[in-house]
Amino acid sequence: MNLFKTILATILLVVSSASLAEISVIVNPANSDALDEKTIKRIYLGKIKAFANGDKITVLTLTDDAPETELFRQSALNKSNSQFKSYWSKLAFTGKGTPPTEVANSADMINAIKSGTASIGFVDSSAVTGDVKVVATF
Amino acid sequence: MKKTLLASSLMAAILAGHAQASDIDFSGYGSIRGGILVNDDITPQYYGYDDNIDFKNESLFALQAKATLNEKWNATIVLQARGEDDFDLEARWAYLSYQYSPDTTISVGRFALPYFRNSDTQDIGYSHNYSRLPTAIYLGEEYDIIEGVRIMHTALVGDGDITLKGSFGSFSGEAGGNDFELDNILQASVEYTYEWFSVFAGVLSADATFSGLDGFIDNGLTSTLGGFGYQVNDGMVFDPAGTNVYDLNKLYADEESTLYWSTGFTIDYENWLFNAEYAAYDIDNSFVEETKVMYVALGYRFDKAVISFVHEDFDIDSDYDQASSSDANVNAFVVGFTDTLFKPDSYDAQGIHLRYDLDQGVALKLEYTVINNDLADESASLVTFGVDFIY
Repeated sequence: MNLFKTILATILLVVSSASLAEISVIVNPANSDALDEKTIKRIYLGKIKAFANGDKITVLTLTDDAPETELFRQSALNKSNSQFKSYWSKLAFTGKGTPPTEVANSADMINAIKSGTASIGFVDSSAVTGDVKVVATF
Repeated sequence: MKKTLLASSLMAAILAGHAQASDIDFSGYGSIRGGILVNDDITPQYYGYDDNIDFKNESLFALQAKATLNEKWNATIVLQARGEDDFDLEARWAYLSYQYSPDTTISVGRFALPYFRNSDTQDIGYSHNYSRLPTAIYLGEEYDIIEGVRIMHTALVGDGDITLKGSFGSFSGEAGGNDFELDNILQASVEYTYEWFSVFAGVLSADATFSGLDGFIDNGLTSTLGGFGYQVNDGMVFDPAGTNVYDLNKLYADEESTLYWSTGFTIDYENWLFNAEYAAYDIDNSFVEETKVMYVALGYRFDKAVISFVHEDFDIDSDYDQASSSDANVNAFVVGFTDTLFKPDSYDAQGIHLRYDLDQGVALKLEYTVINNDLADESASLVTFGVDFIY
């Protein structure tokens, strides 16, 4: 019985720590736009191309194979990597938009957001620093 | 020549942009597909396969170079090599875009004409879940690239969004091996997208000219009825008594107004995919009263795979309105000619398509389709396998 409890507790711990991985959507601290989940989704799907002040948004993503990317696309956009890429291929090759620009890793993402007032990106919440502003978590 | 000039000036614009150290992005897409008819009572129209395995017909490679000249302007060229055309390189798209506002873009140059909902993306196999977009509607691309102007506007409406497209331009080239021209092409479409569904409607009008057709019809009549003493002179048909009994201009396609309209929807809900399109088009004063085409597709998405069932139907209506001669023989010729040319084209097909996402940007496709010719009541079974990719 004790063993069973221990196993159960271990399983619960593993499951909950796995689900703890959280993505933060980040912008430059100077950006005062209220960005809700729907707006973030529309930005990443190319439906909104400018912030409220008229600045053209630079949309950034981590690489396709980064676990953060997959998690973000699944939870914020409700799309798998291949669905996301299929979707963007229709836009990118017909003059309807430019897919999000890839940055190599979280540190580069933080730097890009820090220096880009009209940029938006995402990192694992554990990588967030004071240089950026978190607008949503998934 | 005009096209080559346009493509090379666009290329020059892109390279000039590059010289000014602006951004130039390369990307692309492609497909390698093999297929064979495993049971061929008929050779189906529009599919391009026979009973020998073929890797060429539906394979293609495309490279896009997009130069951002500044915040508002960019120049794009898509170079495409299709197996069907012996992999001859063609500037499939070559256009200059001006972003009037974040929601409105104006493009001038050469681009794919959106006759139907997905006409502009039909080459990108990776973008959909089938081996090819249903052939009943997406016939191929003999005359779907035009030179002209396109305007695109998007707007957020409630929880969804609306995309409006309008184009104006012209086409000149070949269709079915004959010289073919479309002038004064006017196109407009609207699409509303909500989270899990979208609806689409589009209309297109143009003036169509088939210049090779005149001689073809003249010869057809002469070879059919000439032996009985009928003669064709400058488009007029004279019976053996020398009476003018018919004006072949009724059959010639010379700046005849043509109208396309189409509608469709897509649903992507809880891994179920359901979509359908319907379109109808006709050329005034021609043999064909109306061509009606449709497909419905039902699919289910698994983790890395999508399985789809597609039913499509291609139907040509002939009303024989042009068989209006006072001479019964001439009318019989018009009816016979119409039937010979167009009746065998009607078909329907049912297919199962499998997409498997192998890796980032790489999808495997498998297909089994049965194509039924309506007139002959015979069928062919097509098996294809391929890989679609983007980079």
